Amino acid sequence: MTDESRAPNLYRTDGGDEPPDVNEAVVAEWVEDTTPFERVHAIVRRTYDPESAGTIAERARVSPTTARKHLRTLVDAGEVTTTQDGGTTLYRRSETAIVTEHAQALLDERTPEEIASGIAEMKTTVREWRSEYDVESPEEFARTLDIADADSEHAGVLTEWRTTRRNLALAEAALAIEEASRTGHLSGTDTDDEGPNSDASAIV
Amino acid sequence: MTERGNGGSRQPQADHREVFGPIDAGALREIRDLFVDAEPLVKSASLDDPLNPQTLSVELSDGVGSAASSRFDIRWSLSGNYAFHYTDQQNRDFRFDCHPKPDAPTRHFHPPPDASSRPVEPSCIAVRDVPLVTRAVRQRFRDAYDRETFDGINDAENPP
Repeated sequence: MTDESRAPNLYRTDGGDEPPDVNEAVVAEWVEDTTPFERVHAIVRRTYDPESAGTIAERARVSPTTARKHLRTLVDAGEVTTTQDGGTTLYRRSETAIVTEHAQALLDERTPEEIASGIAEMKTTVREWRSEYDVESPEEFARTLDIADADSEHAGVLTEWRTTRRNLALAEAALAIEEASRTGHLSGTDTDDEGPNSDASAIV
Repeated sequence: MTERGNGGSRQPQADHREVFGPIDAGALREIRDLFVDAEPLVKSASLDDPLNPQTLSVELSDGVGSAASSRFDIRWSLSGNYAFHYTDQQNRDFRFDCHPKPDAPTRHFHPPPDASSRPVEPSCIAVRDVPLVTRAVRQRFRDAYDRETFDGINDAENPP
């Protein structure tokens, strides 16, 4: 229950002092099921806009001191990147970590050949949108429309287009990582002598 | 190809660029794993396209009340917008959503039996992050499933 005393200001419930509701229950369950480090990691993993350690602490239901400690570890590991805003350090997920997470998931589920053909498909899809709506980019598409409702048909296409553009970039990065790994250049286990000599005991 | 629904009374807004936002593939995988770990009724959980996922579908081996099976279709965007859409073998639907919507709260609920576009209710789910929203949606489903009725599915408090 240690973190629950702070919980009420983290979200709004209609009545205030009511018996535990679904929101309080799931916070308690999450805190019970996870360590503070896991919660900080889970929150910062989906933080794409920089946020302060204090904000991340509130979302992760840990103290600001604990959040700062774990965020420093994640920065050192390359998972998180920082920016300065006045005197405050802001944290967000690093691009490297985004690519790595996506590449690992893709390479677990698909062969390089399947990824390559998926890339070709996504490129075709984007070409078709460009020609169907006579615009170059989803941004230009959005400007030509009056989309205020995410449930509308055009909003759906817009979301799909921007999603596809992102997943295309991630799939290409995943394929590049796979190719570099397969050749052994990354680990120095290739036959060339130019690789980094970071691990002389590497099994060949 | 016009906007459906609320006619021309809405004043034009300056910023329509991002109503839902690009889908977060990593978030969909995280939600998939959370559902599979927590919910024994899960029969399968898969992305519509592993390379370019737009939707996560979680198939359940039973549904609320008389429905023999059901499914959640789930979307989650980089900006934290989401849609958890329940549909079952009796063609009953509801949806817990969080995204900008004219004349509706950002966090809103499309009630059963048809989850129609309008009108919607404020959602009982106030938490925001992936692990918490996923748990909350599952909890609301479980509550309805155990009580065998959709009544109260959007109530934050469990009946005694």
